[in-house]
Amino acid sequence: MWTFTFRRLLLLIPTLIGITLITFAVTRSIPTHPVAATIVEQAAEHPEIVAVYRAKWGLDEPLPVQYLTYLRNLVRGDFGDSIYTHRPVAADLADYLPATIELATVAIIISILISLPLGVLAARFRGGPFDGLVRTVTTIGVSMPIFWLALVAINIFYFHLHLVPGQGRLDSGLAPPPTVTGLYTIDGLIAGDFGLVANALYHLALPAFVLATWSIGLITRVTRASMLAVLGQDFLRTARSKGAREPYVLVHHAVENAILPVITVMGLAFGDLLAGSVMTETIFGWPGIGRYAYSAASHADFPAVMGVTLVVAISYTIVNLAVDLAYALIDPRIRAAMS
Amino acid sequence: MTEDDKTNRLLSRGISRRTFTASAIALAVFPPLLSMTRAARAAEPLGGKPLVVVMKTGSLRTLDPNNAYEAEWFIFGKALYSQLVTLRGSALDAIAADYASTWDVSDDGLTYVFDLNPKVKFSDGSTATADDLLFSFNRFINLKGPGSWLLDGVKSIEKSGPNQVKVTLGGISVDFLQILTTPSLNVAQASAIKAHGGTDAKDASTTDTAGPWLDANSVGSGPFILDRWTRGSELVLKRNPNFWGVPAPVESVIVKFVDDPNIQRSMLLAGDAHIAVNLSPDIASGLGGEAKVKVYQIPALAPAYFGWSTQKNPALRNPKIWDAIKYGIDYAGLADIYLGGGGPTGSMVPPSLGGALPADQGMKEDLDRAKAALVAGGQPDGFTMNASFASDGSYTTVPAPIVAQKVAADLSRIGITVNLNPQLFSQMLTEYRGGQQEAVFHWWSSDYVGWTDYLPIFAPGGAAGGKRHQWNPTDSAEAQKIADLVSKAKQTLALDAQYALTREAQSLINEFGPYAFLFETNYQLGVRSDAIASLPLNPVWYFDLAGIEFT
Repeated sequence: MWTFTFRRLLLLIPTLIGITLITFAVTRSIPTHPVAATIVEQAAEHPEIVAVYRAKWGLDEPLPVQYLTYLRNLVRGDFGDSIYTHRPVAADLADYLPATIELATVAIIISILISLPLGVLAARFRGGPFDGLVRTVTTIGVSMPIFWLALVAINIFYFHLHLVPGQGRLDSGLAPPPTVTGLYTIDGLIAGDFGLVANALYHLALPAFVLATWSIGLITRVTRASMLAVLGQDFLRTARSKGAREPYVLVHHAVENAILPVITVMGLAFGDLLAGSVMTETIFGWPGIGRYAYSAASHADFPAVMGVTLVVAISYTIVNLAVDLAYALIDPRIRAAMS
Repeated sequence: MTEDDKTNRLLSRGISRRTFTASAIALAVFPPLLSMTRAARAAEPLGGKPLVVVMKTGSLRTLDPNNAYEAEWFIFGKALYSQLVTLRGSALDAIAADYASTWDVSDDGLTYVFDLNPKVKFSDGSTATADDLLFSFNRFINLKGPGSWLLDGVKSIEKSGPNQVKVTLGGISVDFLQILTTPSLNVAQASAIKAHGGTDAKDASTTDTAGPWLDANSVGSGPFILDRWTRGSELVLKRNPNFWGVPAPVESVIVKFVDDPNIQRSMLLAGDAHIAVNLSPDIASGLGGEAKVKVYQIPALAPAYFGWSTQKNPALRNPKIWDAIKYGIDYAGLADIYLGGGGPTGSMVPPSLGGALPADQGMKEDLDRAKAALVAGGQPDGFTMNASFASDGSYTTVPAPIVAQKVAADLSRIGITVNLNPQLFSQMLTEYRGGQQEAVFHWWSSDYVGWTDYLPIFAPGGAAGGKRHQWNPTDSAEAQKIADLVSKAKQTLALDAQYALTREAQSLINEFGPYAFLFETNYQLGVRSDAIASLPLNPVWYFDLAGIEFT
């Protein structure tokens, strides 16, 4: 398994180089000039100010040279400086990425806790009212625009019911914990500040649930379909005929054999949650990578766009690797094939 | 249990007699102290709680006082730092003392001598000096940041006395004092900045490293100090205990960055925010019936306009056709779109600025004249033109797409077909600055509160007139006359004469220029009237945090 893991990580290198090349080409081919998109009108009329920008970001160099310079710096761990924020992209990512990781992680945990039982029970009671209800609700969950759901949820749960806070990662004026991971819940625990942890969870609840609706719908439907494929198998009939009780049959025989496609979808869903939370972050005032990426893209801030793309690509790869390793842990046949 | 029993029990748990005695004294003293603290808090506005402001993150990227130049920065620049001179309240034409207590302008308008206020102290208690001012201005120039052009006209800045600074200009700058009020021209503590890698040397744009430190620390003499800035989340200010003027009215201000105006509204109504800065026109108008909320409007000094190239469309090469566009637009009907987010404008200079053409002298719809212009221009059946706009943009708070659609619909009434070309704002801006567009819906926002930030730009040969719309003085006798008027106004120190020239130039631009000036834009602020009695509004920094009066 170690060889497999090492090989997969090695494959990451050409993948990332390919991603940088494509992102660079796409970013620089759009008809937007990074300096024109960044500085104010009057400054744009002053050559000496524009020259500082062009020199700092090497915009006078030919594109291939710019790309190779970027790669050379990247090897040294330097993502370059953001044209828009003027800070190292790595510093920006360190500020914004943990907020998204925390939000996406809580969202995927909520998704799994809700969708797995729903999917299993919907399959078990196929065709019944519960199954119909689950199918309807999950279809709505998958198809509902997330920005609309976020606005409705804030209106109901924050504005009318006052059950949750409306904005941000912490209450107004509450200072973040000393940064270790950037995840307020974890850093709060490390600092021993349980009040802050509770406040962070309080702020996570609504945006995480809203973000999770799509993945709840997806995972529930895949779980149901996968379970249906397994429930008709002979080995379940054998288990029942041997006197095994239904819950045991469901959990230990059916779910274990139906879980592999579900894990795949969970991995993909987690990747999507990491990369696709722009609207949720905007509406909930969540200072995450989605908002940063949107700002970077709309200002042709190519170092920032490339930094975000690389981080998302690495996240996807790591999540997929984790999914593959989970396969091996669950299914001895795959474990044997890997070794 | 008697008191002695209680005492013995505590002592038996290992508390020393000395500790016990101290605790007993503290318990006796604490209730009065507590009530005193409560009384002090009650005397503070908002019961001692922070003032909460919600506003868009916008483009705030740094808090470096000599480099920050974004619209969202100005409210913080005003709160954290002093400027040489400033504007008091909402008055845009009355320059007031700040770091400079008095000033004198030479008869030729080229030399400004500022007497600095010796009372001005930085937040660490040290006295601000002329050297701090020189360092700040030189650093501002040499960092070559986005606002550094503001001091382009300055030939030299030097100390002319122990507490006096002389600024010499290379040429007359009639708005120089207005420029100095911009909260990008801040006075910061030189020693602190130098200690953290700052420099005012010529090569500061490549060698200065103080920016990151200044993002976390303020070194100014304003009424507030920076407590912390959590990017994308919130920025917290505290009252400056060493402020040299009237202390800030509130101990703490929390500015939360909330991009969605719907959420700003919800937080305002829920009482979680006292001031919401970026209300959209529809949301602001919907707050009219709320008893505890008052909506304030501030001119944003950012008029929206429709402009076209004089060269790119064959029909528009004939200036006679331009009247068809100008008179074909239903300007009054635009008010149904911008609601409180805008107002009529006389021309490109916002009506609230000195030298502006009054709003009632702006462009008016006249369909008969528009149709006559089509005939005179050789296009009696109309023509087709392409116009770009930012699909993700807005004119302050008025969405650009609905303005573009409205104008296109208006012009279709007289046979002009406007093919709308929606673009991302950044792409639209790139083409705009490159002068590549056949026609464009855009706006021009302020850098400082003076007409010179607008009129020369839109005059023939100006940054917008010449480069964006290819309209130059040599194009016609009228264009040359306008250019001459603007040049003369820029050299005229007497205000009455100066403003007469600027108004004549604007009238002529309205008549002969390749633009239709649509409306001036407004910021709309929602304010909790149960907490705030008044706040001094300002188009540049929204409002002065130190000037808020609480209920």
